[in-house]
Amino acid sequence: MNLAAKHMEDIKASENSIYYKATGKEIEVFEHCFQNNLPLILKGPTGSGKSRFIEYMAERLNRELISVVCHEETSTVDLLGRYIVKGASTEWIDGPLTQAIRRGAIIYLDEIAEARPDVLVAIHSLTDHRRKLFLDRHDEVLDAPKDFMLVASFNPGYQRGFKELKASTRQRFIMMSFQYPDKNVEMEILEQETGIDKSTSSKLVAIASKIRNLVELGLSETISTRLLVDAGKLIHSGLPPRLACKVAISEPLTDEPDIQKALDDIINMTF
Amino acid sequence: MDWDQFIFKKINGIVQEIRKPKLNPIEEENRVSLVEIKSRLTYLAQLLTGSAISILPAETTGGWKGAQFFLPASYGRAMDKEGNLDFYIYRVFYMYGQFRLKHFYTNETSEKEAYSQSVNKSKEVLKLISNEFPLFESLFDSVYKFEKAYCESNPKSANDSDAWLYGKWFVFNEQDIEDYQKLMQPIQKQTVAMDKEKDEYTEIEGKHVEDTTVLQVDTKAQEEYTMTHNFEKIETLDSFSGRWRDFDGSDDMDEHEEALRELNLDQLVRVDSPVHSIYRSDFVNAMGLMNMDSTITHYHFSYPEWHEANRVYREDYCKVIYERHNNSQTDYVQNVIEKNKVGINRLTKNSEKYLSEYFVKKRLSDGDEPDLDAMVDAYVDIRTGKTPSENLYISKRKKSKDIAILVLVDCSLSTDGYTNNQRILDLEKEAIIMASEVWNRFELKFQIDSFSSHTHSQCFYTTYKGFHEDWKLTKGRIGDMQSSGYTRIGAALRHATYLLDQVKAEKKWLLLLSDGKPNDYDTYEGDYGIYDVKKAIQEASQKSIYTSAIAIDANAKFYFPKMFGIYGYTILNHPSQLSESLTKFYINLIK
Repeated sequence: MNLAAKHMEDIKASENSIYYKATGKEIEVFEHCFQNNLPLILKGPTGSGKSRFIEYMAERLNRELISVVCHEETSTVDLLGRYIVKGASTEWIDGPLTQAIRRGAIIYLDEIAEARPDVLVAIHSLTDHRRKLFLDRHDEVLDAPKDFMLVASFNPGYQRGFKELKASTRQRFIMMSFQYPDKNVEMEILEQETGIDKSTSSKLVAIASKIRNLVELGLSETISTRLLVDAGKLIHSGLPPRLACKVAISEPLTDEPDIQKALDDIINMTF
Repeated sequence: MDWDQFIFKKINGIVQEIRKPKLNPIEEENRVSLVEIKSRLTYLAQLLTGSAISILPAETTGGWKGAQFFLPASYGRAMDKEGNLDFYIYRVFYMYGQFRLKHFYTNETSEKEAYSQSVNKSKEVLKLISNEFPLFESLFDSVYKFEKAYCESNPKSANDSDAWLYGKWFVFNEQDIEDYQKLMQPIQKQTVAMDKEKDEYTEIEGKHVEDTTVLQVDTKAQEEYTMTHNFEKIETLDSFSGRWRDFDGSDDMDEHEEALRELNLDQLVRVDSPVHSIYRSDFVNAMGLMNMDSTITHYHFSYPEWHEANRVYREDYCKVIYERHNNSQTDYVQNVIEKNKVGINRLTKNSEKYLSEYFVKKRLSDGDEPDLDAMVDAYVDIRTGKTPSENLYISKRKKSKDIAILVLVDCSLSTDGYTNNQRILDLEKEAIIMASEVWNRFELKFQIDSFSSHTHSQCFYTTYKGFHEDWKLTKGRIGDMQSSGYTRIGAALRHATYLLDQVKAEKKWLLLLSDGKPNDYDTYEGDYGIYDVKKAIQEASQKSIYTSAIAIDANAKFYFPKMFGIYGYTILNHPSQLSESLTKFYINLIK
């Protein structure tokens, strides 16, 4: 029995300390990718639970998780490692990706499409049958162990056309879409995460459903489960519901006064 | 104006003033007008229904009709401003209830019946909304109380509180029922005359109508017209009574403003001649799509058009007449460049900042500066006994990414209008010239085209600067851009896609500059136009061409997201931001 399969056996009976509510077959897909050493990309809007899912899975598979939030300045050196000059000598420092390979961890590259193109080139050899990382500067080739897994995420709508994954990169990954959960699941998440009662969670979800079905608002991002969770936490800790929704929902969503007022009108008729 | 006409006008003015009902000053101070809160209520209605609902002023107390919520033009019957605002919020929620319950007539009915039916069914509506929004009931209670209190204290209004609370039911035909979310949109005609100075044109916001009929012009009767109205020359107008007369297009509307406000707009005709004044009114188009087939002899490209209601393409429907513009107005362009020298330099520097950061070539055998990273690596190699690389330099040569941008400029007649005392077309031209100056310095591949139309048979598409033409030799042509015709965006996008598809580039972008909705003489408007544009964008996307749009119209926030998605457009608060916006777009591409 390989190590990955053993882990899966081990975790079956154990309980996770991180709360995650599955909305489909994502746990099964992740476990199969882990078993088969396949790299995985999660795509979906902000606050749809991608990062939480990875944390949950790392704990479920009992693996260390190393997360890197990519941005437009993230380069290969930041991921692989660099020499630093110390006095009259130089010292090699492993980057997070190299560390993950050496330690057999799960590496999570959040918003991978934001990173500079050389990052994608550097990880190509890790995403196919070779599963190798070439550290040219260090004159070293690392073989990824069985327990190493590469997971990345991106938001397909954001920066459309400006920053996108090339087809050649996309085809190296297994991909899963994350969407906001349906009404009952989202209510359950809110109750579990924040401790609010069913009536409050149902009102929050009703507000979210009104906001989500409308593209005409021109919001750069629609309301996420994360925002609802924040609002729920504020309500549970004693902030008046209308104020909680205003600061956790309408203010973060838009700066346009008229849209804010319309959102507040809906909130005021609900709470 | 003769002396007798002058006296008549004065006396008429005094009589009108006396007849005007005396208004309570406190009521007037607290009065809320629909115009002030229209945007907020539109968002609220759209949030509630999930549809592209428009808010329009009603002739009286209003109601729901298709994709329109008609609301009173102003309301002042509550004790304070807050209460008056609550009334509008209540009515939007109430109409949402009617919208959900599909409360409308399918047969013609009397006005009295339309109001009483609304009252009869009000409990059903209130119950539905209260179930969904628990606090709606308290809003209704407060509105109900001040409405009843107002009626008690104003005997003249004793019986009209129900009409204000519940509005009336409207009549829908079968097509309305099926398409009310798709095809019914207010029409905002914004054509103005060409070659007019800004102080010579007049625009008046008209009174709004809930229902209208469009008549076919009887040209024979028009020729036979004889003037019969004695007060033709002073400020008097008649509603249409079956007599046809010439449409002279003269600009004396400011003199007729008072009379225009009394005009009934229930019967209209469509004309395509340039006009000198705008009397703008939102109305619901009662007609289907007009068939404007005509034979054209010019060489043209044929493109399909998407019919959303039937979900089919109308094959070879649009005829695009393509031409290259060769006339120049070099002086105009030189003046613009001279006038905006500081602005162009600022935009260049902004772009340069990113270019110098991202197009530095590293690890070269020869260059302007030493490459510190390469030096450290070389040092490491020497220390570890390896042969160091000789590539130790940086070159700051600027090398543009392989991007092609086609700028598609809306040159319809509406760009001949003025905003903040500047002609929209001039603003567009200046911004294009400024941005092109910057792009040219960075050797970007770009093309500048314009479009306008006059029905699907004549969609004009003009290239001012081609991808392979030198900007220095072609910039004079931008000065010669003129406004004409209507805005058939879909056909223009399809032709631009075809042209971009021929170009070799790593990334291809189509950038639309527009000041209005899709709109053409043969009723290419409303959702029909919007969905056709959306489809054309999808077609471009299938050819790996990205589209983006810059809107010079604050109202674009209500329809641009539908066409371009939530990330695909920029709305300018002020047209002077256009050149800045074009450069930002370029910076986003090179980042």
